[in-house]
Amino acid sequence: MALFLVAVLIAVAVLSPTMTAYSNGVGDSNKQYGCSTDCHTVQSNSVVTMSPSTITPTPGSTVTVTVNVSGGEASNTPLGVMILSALTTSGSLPSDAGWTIVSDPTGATAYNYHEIQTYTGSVSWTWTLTAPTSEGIYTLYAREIHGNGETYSRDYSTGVAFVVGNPETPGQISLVITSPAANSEVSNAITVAASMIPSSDILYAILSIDGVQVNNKTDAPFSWTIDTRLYADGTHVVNITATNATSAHGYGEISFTVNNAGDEAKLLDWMWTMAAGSIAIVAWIGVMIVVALMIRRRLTMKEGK
Amino acid sequence: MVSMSALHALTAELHAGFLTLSFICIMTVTIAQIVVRFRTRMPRKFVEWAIKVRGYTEAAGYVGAVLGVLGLLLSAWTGMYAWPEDVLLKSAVVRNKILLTAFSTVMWGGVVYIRSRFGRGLWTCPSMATVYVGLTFVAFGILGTTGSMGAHLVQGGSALDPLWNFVGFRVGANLVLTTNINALIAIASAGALVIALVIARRYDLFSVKLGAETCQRVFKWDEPKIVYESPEKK
Repeated sequence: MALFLVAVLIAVAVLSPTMTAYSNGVGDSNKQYGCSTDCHTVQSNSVVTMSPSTITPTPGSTVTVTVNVSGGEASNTPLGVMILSALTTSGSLPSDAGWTIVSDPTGATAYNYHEIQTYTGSVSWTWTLTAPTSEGIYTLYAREIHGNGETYSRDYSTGVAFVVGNPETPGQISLVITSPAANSEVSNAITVAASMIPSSDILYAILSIDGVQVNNKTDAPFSWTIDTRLYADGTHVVNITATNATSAHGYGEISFTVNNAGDEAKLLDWMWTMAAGSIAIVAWIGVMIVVALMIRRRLTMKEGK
Repeated sequence: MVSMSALHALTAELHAGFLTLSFICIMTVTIAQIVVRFRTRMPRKFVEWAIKVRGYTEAAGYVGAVLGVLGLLLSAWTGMYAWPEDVLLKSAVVRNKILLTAFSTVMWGGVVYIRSRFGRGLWTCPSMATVYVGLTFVAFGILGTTGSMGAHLVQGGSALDPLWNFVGFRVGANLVLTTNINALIAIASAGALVIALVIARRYDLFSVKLGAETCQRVFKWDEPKIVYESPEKK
């Protein structure tokens, strides 16, 4: 009976590919990052990038930010993109950091979230904003969300760091750690990257984790691949110190949380599931063969009588 | 030098092709067997066609299954080297694909075992033919699901997505059970197999041969032999 039910389910799977998908778009709006109304928690394999018209705008000047999305699981289904000032569940609208959206990709409205109903593999959408009026370093992020079998999302967590005005203190380097995102949870190999202004004539940039020097680079790009499995699960502090030819200094620091145990436990469960499933399949094939032979034996004997 | 990704794509096409051929052939034999069994109620031309077709498709189904299983093993090997290990095991979709590929390989191995052990004569025994066809059907369904997951990885979506949305199956969800449940399943299944083997030994089922001599007279199901002309014409 169980076999029959599985067979029916698979028959439906094989024979019904033309059933209609459930569309779940919500339309353009201002949306915060994360789970205010809709959780998109499964990491998509799409590629999200951002490119700004400038990263050194003057206060209140106009900046355009183009977000490109390619690949992913959506196929002729809705996909939306939002630009954000933080990867936190509140206070993540660009306006929360002093940005003003002049126009969104429609050109007619000024929302931070734009959506299309039929995604066909790639989109490139541009927002026009005015920069904050206060000098400082501001970062914008992007996030794409879609469905199609799962609640997928992909963040551009590296973000684009904007130096608005001239926040540099003479003799100092403005240094922003762009990856990983501050307070993010990471596992396996990660990239630690920094952007520096001015970025020329850097003599060295020192990467330290928990106060221990990990590496020292004298040339761009100032990014490092770190195997988090070398660190205990928990919160760690990463900092980067840079010095240039004029003896100016820069310093950036963020915290992140390593969680490799969760990944390893998941992997172990997966391997056990594969082993147990394979044993079960072999066993039940054997049982079914014996049952089939027993049925044959009984019917043959009955017929013989 | 040919990349492992390209080789994996090639071997994936190979096993999918062979196993699809095998599935179609075995289903064709099933229909043909039913037609021949109820020949008195079927159009004569239809019966003649069924008698001719079933012999060839039965053999092709077996060969396709054997080559398909070999192709599956080859695919698993090339797949292991197609991407770095970190990337392979980090994605839930990839893990699900590997898991279902393993299950599919075991099931297709079962199909090949049944056909090798009992030969063409299994078709004369309705209960064994049911196990054979049912297992083929499930194995092909699982294979189709792994194909859909592969399409998700490569193209970002698959033709079966509307179905997955409809039935609520999440391709990216972790298809894992807890250690305790896994242990329970493995022990219970192994126990069931041991009991089955004890019963088989007690009733001397290991030595059973299925064929015209042992089944056909009782069940009236023909053996799907290759014939050049239907018996009615002779």
